[in-house]
Amino acid sequence: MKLAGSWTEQECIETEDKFPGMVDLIRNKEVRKMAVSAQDVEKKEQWWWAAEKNRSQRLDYLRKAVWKKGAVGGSYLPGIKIDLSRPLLFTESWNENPGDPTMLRKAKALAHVWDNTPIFIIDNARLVGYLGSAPHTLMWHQEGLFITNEEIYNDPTVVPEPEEESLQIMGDICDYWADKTALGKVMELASPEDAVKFMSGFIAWGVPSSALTYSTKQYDWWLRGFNYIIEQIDRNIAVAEEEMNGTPSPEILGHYDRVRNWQAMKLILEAGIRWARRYARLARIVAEKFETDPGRKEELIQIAETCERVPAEPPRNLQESLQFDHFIQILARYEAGEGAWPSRPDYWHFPYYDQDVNQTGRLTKEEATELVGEFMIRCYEVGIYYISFMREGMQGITGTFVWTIGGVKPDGSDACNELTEVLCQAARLVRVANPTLSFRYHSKVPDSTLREVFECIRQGLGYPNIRHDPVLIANMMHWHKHPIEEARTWVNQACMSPCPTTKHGCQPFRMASATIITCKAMEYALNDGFDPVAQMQMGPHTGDARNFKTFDELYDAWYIQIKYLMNLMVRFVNLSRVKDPEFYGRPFLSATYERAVEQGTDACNPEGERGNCWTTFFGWVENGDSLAAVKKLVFEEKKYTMSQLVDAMANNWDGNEEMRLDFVKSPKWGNDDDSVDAVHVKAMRDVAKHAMIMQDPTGNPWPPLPEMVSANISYSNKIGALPNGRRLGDPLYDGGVSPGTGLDKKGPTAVLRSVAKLDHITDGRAFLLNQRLSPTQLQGEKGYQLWRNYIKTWFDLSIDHVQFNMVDNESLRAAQKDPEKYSELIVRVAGYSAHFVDISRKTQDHIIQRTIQELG
Amino acid sequence: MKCDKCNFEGDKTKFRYLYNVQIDESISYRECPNCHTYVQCDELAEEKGLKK
Repeated sequence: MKLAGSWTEQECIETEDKFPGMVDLIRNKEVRKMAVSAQDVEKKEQWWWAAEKNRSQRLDYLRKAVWKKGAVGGSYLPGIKIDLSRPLLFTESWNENPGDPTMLRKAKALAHVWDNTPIFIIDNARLVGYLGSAPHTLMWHQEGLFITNEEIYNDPTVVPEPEEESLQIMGDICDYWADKTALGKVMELASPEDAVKFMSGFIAWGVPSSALTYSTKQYDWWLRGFNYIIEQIDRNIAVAEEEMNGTPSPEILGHYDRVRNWQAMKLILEAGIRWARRYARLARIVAEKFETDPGRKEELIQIAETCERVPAEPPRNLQESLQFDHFIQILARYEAGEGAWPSRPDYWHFPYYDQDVNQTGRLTKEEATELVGEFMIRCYEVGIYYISFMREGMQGITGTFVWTIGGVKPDGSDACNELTEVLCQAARLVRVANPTLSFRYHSKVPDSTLREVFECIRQGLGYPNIRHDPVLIANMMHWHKHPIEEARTWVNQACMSPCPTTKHGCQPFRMASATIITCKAMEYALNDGFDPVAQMQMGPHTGDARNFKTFDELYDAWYIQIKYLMNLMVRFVNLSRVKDPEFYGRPFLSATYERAVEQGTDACNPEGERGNCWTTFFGWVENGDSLAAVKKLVFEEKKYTMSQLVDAMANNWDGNEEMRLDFVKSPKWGNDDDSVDAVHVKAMRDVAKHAMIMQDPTGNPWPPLPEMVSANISYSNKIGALPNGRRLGDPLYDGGVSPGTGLDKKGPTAVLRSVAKLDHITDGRAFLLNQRLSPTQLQGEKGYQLWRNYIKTWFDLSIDHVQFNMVDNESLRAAQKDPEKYSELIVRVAGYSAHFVDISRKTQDHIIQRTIQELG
Repeated sequence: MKCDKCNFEGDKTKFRYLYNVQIDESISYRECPNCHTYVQCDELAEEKGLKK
């Protein structure tokens, strides 16, 4: 790979033609890179420049070659376009097979896509497999959501060239699927009231369909290779067909559907193998006919050998195992809009890493680190077209891709290994906002591993987040009765919720739609169920709040409202789940689930699954803070009346700034104040009580999970004034059980003490906690020891989660003024990280407002 | 209220409320109707000024 400084004149001209200004930009960066050392920029804690200097030329190239697909300001960046290849090919095949059941029809359609969609290999890459027919494209699952189809058609920024022809194609696709989308079919079945309220955009976030979903991957099943699974399927079909030709009985009636499901699974696995081998052929063609560099030729042959091997057969080395993993994620994303990336790379790939690096010497540690860095970049470049509320709720990223590392093995022993540390090192080199890492912490974590984790946080990545392994294992056993050995296999299903990766533990259908904007319950309690922003009756009538004489009356009204919202969400999602095999279909996911292959059912069929649902609670802490403020100022001190409060809310606090400040300054969560914390704990426990009786299709409960993504900003104009002191338009708190932004005044230990008053096993699924630390305080060995002691305190208090921003306000404000100079600055937003310059001004200001905690 | 950037002057209600700078302080951002820049507003001071 040549530096721009040594390009020929012709190469410069060609590059300049395509990308005006690029040649000088690259040359200037190269000069800067050479002039200033890595140590210089590390001293100044300019980690993003240090990463550029420390990483290899290959990683630097691959990192910069990525087309950023996270939305900025709600819109995709210039140059990002919809991929029309999948919708066209899929629809073509779908049209030709009208008599097939959904699974089979879907399998044929996907096979047609994989056999015919254009493929490519990025220069210098060693891992292949891309979502889309070109690097700058977004996937469109046109059979899933009619609302997405409408948005895509009306989004001029993503229409590919030639525009007129593309618009015609897009219009035809939208017309064809208008009455066929999975979401449309669910809406027809749901009660009109549920459907309207759910889709109103005021109480829920997400859509109930596999078109936009998260699914755990069962690594121990598919790592055996697709050919192994096909053998199992063939065996199952043979047994079923024999019985179908035998003595009639009710038991054999199910075989007729099962056989077709198995046929679909076999068809899709064979298509997956063919697709991978297309990459093998392409790599060989490029190597033999076009590549002149002998080193690169060899790499291309290696790519070919890898893709000829996986996913058909089990991997034999690290490149094959990483490639296989990546193929699974990409193929699953061709099938459905996977918004998360549940993964445990250090656990599943370590045997191959260990063999290559420590036993055979096939790779040096540096080469393996580089490969792992590329593995992360391959994840980073994935993009699906998201509907606007999803883009606004997840600014700057393409999904909450959280890779889980550390933890314990099924036998309870420590699972941290060399690859755990390599992942942290690679993360610091490539500095991607996705994937992020989530570290499963327990008391026997090696110091060397913890130091690597700390170094990532100290260098401002905002990850890994830290998870309390024993608490979360107990949590899964409590809520969903997973046996302990299975619970120990857990990964983050999305950004927070733990899920086993086992045959009966894997969760195939979890999307953001059971997400409730919970502070609406406070609004509705104060307005007799009426939504003053949406201007419609949303919740049940719970009485005119002006007439409430006691705090209990207010609390009871609030409780009725929150239960109503929980019930509505879960009803809708349960319906969508059981209908998903018929309305959407997941033949590929099903083939990669041992349970589905054994049963001959779609993976989303709940039969045999132990369940792992949860309701995400956006805007949770506002409830407790508001209730506590009213309790104190209205019912205890009697400084204000309920009428005054309700009127002030109705006027958005206008003309009542002193009153608003009284309500703001009333004791708040996060300060270890029992008067307010007791209200929070009661609210959480009462909600958990109701969660335990709400059932998913497996009969299991739906525990609550407070967190936020960046919906605290996108919902700020949909939630009216609240008694915690906010106005319509103000950002909500940054989520989970984090104290209100800037309202944690008593230091980090007080925050932990408040949060520890919740029972992190029985009060909910998981509880997001954002904390911001001082980069100057945490320098050097002393800084590490301070942080380590903090983590020990956090662990001893049995808190399940904590994540950190470690960046000073000066850098953030400088980035606001000069975004180009700080394009690689990363911040922890909520359950994810993003590049600071990719998030809105309001979100940036909100992060700046977060209290910087001093430890020790 | 007056915009520092374009000198537009008018009643607070003409400047659209955006969001608070810090929830426990009375400073907010409002939008200048003329040049659309962010203008800081002391909500408490403005209210006291009106009440006078």
